[in-house]
Amino acid sequence: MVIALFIVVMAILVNTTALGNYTWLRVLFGVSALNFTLRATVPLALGALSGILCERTGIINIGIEGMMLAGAFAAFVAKVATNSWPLMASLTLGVIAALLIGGLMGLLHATFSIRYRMDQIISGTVIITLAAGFTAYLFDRDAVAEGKFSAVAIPGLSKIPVLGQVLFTNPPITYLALILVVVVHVGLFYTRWGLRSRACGEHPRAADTVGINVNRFRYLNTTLGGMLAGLAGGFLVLEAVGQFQENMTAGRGFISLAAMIFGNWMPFGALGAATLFGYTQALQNELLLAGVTNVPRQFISMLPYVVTIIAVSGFVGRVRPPAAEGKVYETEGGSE
Amino acid sequence: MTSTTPVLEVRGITKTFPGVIANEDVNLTLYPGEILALLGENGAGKSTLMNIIYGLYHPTEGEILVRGQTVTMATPNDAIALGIGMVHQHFQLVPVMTVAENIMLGSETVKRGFLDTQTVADRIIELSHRYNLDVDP
Repeated sequence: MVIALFIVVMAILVNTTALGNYTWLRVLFGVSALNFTLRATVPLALGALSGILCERTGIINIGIEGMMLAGAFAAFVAKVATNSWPLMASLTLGVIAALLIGGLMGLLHATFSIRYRMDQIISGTVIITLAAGFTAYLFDRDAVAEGKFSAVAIPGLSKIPVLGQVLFTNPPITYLALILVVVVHVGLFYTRWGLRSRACGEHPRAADTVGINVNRFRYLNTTLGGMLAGLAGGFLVLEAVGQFQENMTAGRGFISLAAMIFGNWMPFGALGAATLFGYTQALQNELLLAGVTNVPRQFISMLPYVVTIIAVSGFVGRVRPPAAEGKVYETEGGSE
Repeated sequence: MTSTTPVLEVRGITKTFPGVIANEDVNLTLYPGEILALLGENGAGKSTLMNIIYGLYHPTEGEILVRGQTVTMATPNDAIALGIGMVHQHFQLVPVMTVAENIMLGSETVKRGFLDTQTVADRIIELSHRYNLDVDP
């Protein structure tokens, strides 16, 4: 909290006063650094939410990377196929395609894990390999998606100095992602669905004894989780890059998992962790742009990954995963 | 339906697990207003019988009648729908959840789409005062 406040204050000072003349301060707190942070944060936050939905219900999802990639590819295919449509219609179709394919990958993971009782780590790996293989094989290198989502300024709020430029002048999926963090939090902790989902992830037998269909909740939430990961992929294609590239997720699915763990399986915690990782990516970018040459470039490029490793290894003992995650649940009555 | 119809009748229930007979030809009749206590040492099969009546286990043989009707309890949901509730031993609770969350799980009090934890907590406090059982919901 204190750190967040410090960054906001610094950002306002640096971007509105003479402090902005110091290069290193601009690198750390400039509007461009903060904008880049948010752009890097969105897919990580969506990926982490995906992980939270699955793991809170008891299904380990290391396949986020693959679900993202599949979502990105689906968004690209849908966008290219409808290049002749009005831009917004075509982009919206891209989002729907990303959600659908992501959901399908989630359903596949759930089916492997529940119906076929496959080890969930193996199943997740299958999802990643499947997505990487299929998208690379089917990718048409000559295809070009025309146009991507552009920023929408929120009336009034976007006029706030610095904050308005960073938070309230963004393309639609960015807003959607931030709203989804709140929705998932409220859903998990203040609704019947959330209470039952968490019971399935903590103590499935207890959930079963009060009449909750554990595996139905696991199917549902893993599919929803897949959709969120798909949306993260859609963001990369339709909002960030504008095109598809082979293996364009570049480990974001795994950093999402780190953000989920670092955020203690809580939506806002995960958003905070995703922001930290996003910020290091922005820093890497800004340092290179500012022409910092007295440190080898490779060390700067390492920054996001080093921070991820330190954060997760330092915190992993202090957070607590859902008790029943990764375990197949079978009703006792069904064992006859 | 007369008042002499048993609310619950269990006829010839046998339950075998691989290598163990947990219940063998158990008969039990419960009339309206009756309170029945089932005593037995550990492993006697009390919980097994209760789990069968609650639909968690399925009997190997025998039948269950509720208010004179033969019923099949496939899941606890069927039992709950017939008005059969079960209070479980402590290890059927979710450790990380609050008392109120554990109590309402499965039959939640919902207000405008959201969990109404406050009402449940108030009710728990009220009951805990009445029975001198100090519980922090």
